[in-house]
Amino acid sequence: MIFRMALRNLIRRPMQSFLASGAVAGCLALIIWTCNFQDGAWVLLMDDTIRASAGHVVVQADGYQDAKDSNLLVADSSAIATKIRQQNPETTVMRRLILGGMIASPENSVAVGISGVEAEAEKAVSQIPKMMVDGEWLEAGTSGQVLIGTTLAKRLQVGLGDKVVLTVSYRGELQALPFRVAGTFTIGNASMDNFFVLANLPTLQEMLPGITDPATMISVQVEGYKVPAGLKASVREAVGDGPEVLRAEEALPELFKAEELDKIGGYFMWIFIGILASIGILNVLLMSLFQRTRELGMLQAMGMRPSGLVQLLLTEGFLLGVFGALLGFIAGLAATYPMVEYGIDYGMINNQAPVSGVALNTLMKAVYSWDKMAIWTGFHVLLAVLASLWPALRAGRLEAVESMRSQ
Amino acid sequence: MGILTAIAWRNLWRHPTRTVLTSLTMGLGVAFCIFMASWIGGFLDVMRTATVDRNLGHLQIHHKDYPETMNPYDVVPQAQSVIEGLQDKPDVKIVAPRIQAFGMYAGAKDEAASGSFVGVDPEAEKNLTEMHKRVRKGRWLKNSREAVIGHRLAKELNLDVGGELLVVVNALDGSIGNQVYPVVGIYNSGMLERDGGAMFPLQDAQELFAMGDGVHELVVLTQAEEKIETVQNSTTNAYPDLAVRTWYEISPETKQMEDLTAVTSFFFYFIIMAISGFMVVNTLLMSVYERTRELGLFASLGLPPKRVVMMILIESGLLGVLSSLLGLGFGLLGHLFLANYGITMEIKEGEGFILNGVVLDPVIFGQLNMTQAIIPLVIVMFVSVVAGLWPARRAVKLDPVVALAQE
Amino acid sequence: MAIVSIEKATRHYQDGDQVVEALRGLDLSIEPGEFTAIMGPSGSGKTTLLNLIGGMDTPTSGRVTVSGKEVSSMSKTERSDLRRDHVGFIFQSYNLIPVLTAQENTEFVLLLQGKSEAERNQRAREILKAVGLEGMEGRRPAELSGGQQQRVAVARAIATKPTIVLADEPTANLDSETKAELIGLMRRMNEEEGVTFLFSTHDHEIIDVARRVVTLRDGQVSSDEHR
Ligand SMILES: Nc1ncnc2c1ncn2[C@@H]1O[C@H](COP(=O)(O)OP(=O)(O)OP(=O)(O)O)[C@@H](O)[C@H]1O
Ligand SMILES: [Mg+2]
Repeated sequence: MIFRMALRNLIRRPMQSFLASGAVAGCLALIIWTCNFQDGAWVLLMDDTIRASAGHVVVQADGYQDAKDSNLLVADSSAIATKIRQQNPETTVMRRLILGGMIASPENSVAVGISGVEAEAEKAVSQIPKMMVDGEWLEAGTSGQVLIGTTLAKRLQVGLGDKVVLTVSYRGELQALPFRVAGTFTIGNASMDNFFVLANLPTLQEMLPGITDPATMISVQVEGYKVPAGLKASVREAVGDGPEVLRAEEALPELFKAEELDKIGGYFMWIFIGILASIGILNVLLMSLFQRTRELGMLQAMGMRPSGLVQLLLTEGFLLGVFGALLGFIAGLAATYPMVEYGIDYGMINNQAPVSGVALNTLMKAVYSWDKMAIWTGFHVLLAVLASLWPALRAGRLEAVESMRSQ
Repeated sequence: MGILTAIAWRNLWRHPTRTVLTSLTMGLGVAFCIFMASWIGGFLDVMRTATVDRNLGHLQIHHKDYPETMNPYDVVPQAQSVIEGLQDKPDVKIVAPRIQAFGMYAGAKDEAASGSFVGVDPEAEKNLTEMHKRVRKGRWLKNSREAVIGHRLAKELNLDVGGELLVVVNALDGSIGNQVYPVVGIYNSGMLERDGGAMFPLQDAQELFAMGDGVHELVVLTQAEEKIETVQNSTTNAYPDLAVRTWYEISPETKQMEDLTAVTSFFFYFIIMAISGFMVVNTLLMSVYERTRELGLFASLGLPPKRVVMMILIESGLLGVLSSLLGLGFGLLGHLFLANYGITMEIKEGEGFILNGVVLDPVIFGQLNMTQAIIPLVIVMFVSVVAGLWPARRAVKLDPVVALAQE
Repeated sequence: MAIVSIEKATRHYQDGDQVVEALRGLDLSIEPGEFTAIMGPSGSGKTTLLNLIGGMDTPTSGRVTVSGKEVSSMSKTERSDLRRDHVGFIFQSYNLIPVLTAQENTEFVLLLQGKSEAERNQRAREILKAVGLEGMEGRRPAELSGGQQQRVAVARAIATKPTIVLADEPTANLDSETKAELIGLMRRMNEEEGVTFLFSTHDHEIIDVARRVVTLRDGQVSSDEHR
């Protein structure tokens, strides 16, 4: 009966009930939408970055993580990669050799970062194949190919098929080798289009004397973007002592830190919006309490206990919350849908990546974060109930005579 | 008018809780906008400091092909006379010449590396970019025949202040220039590229590259931001063969960020607009509903509908004023907090976000310009009055007889 | 034995910095089955008296006992329960819960008492029929006339078979014909169901029906006549 009365009380004031639950709905929809979008953006950004610049677990020479010294290399990398693959057949294992150096054409010479990659494996995880302007992605087995950014190509005044000389330094010695430009790409990030050079791993390995089959990192990747719990231990077992084995969080602390900061900012804003919504509900409920004081006095005259009045108003708040949350949830989903289906092209993202040197997919799509949506929806119902607490307790404190006297 | 305002004011205080809650909600919305504006202003400032103040200056002058090719042969012709010409302009504060090139470096223990080579006028650079403040160890350039090196290069070469740096470059006359310089300082400019290289006094650089008194780049700081385009135009007119570009033409990313910020602020303004409109409609509708009888009485006393509307609009306007004041108060408090204490966005120790190869300062201090503080206030006022129209219309549509008959 | 007894009850209200003495040492006792009218000029303390008996309010001093229980020392919840189980209230207007139908309004107190659905339903129908509202059980207050609303109020007040029904100017908003009907209904219920009624009124017409008339003046009983 209390439930029915509460429901009817709300229906009796359609305007006010609508305004109050509208407040909840609007805020919830807004939160759900931004939350799904933010999650989507981060999943993409994290996924691209983890895959392209480290791995879910990454094997590097001991001390490389701290020093980022390109002289620190893992020797016999393919033997290690094979061992890891045997131990973890479900993973993809790829090697990269990252060197600092110089690229020179007859016109100019420019300092660059050179990545030696396994053409086929890298093609599957890198965004650069989609950003090719001219030529083709690297071909496994063809030596002497390089891919360079369009800006760099302009600086060097070279085009497809032109000769360039790569010079790398390793253990104090400079090694130079001629290459041909097999393709150019535009990532959209000025410094990367100017700085990033890709070549086949075996060709680059040949330039380093005195070390067999070197690699900077052996990247172990899985489906999805969460790092499986046991992966690090199992890779460590396959690798044995010596090189360092890191999870993505350890290899890319900046990335995870940036995600954390961004999400904290998000929570701050959401909680603020939630507070505004609850003040809105509180206001409506308080007003409806003032307007109904006499009616509540009558309920008291008929012998309804103070706790009964509290229950009644809490139920009203709860119903408002449930209704608003439902509405907001639906509206939030509806707003998310086009973002999941089509996404928006957010070209600037490449300039804002927390970890530089990664080409990112700029088409940002939202995801449905069901767990978070559920939590926020529940949170809003709770907010509504909390907001009704004050009016409810006030109703419970009303003196019967006083309420009957009010108009 | 006077009596209407008095009635409107007293009506507001018939339900102090309601009025306070309503203006609190709207005020918090305004405060949030002001706080956000302060935060975004602080962030943009950090960004501008990192890009404009520490590197780009207001204007840059190059050989007309240089921006495209960055070819070291494309030097500014007759640089000295250009510099003198610029320094004569009253709007110009500082002109700093630079040589932007690329060198190969070696330290004492045979480690070799390649990186950027920047030749500067130590005094001008000190005034322009305050590079001397970015020196972490040792001191800034003072005399000829000495070098300061970036912290990344220092690490790579295992070189410290007091050590010797061997520089090898391709001179412009086709010869190989090499020279040994004592290292007098290690800097952290926050620019990834520059931190992997070294800086030298201008004359030494010109000598090493065998380029006479040529320079690649003239960086201009004007007296004020508004003068940038004036100086750009007059310089372009005086030297039609040179490329004269503003910082925002060189680094559109920074400008893009500012534009994105405008969109974000718009989004927030929209939210407060929605929230305040909602709250005002809610509050005033309720007060009109509960005063149905009283409004009927006004009508029966012969108050023309226009003045009833007026009265309700004054009420909503007063609510807007109240909210604006509250919002301004809270918002300024938030801004003062942010301006004095700042918020740390640390990605790595001592380093903030990395934006397009530039490391931002980790602590963001609030920055607010008056317009940004006033816009939300204006919006709230406007929305309040507009939102008052609906309840006001309802009030005048009431037939006095019907209204008086209502209990 | 008296079902209501009041001894030297006073009730003072603070009105700004002025003290209003609504009741000044009032004595009264009500026997079961009585049908009593309370008269008196405006401000003489009628409403205050009814509120004290119903536990809506507590005396500043003195004793108020209902069914042998002392009201003045009860907690708020205990007073709620007293009203639920022993007292029926009828007011001048706004007697009914606007969102509930006549039937539901009548059932409401039974529900508070925890009666079963079937029992509630049956009792409410019975009473509504007795007050002449058969066929209107499903209507909400807004769909009933003033007289009909007051009948529902009577039905609700007596549905629980309370020890006493307190009615504060129940007829004040009604025209004289409806007035007579309502007071007749109350009288009939008094006779048929044995309900004790205590009502306040300004109306001399309906006082004739009362078997006992208590007149208040300045918060004290000035006359008490049995007829
Ligand atoms: N809450 C209160 N605060 C201040 N004074 C009060 C309060 N309640 C009642 N009074 C005063 O107490 C006196 C008695 O009031 P009461 O309502 O009992 O009179 P009444 O006999 O019912 O009058 P009426 O016939 O007009 O209904 C009046 O003078 C009234 O002003
Ligand atoms: Mg009275």
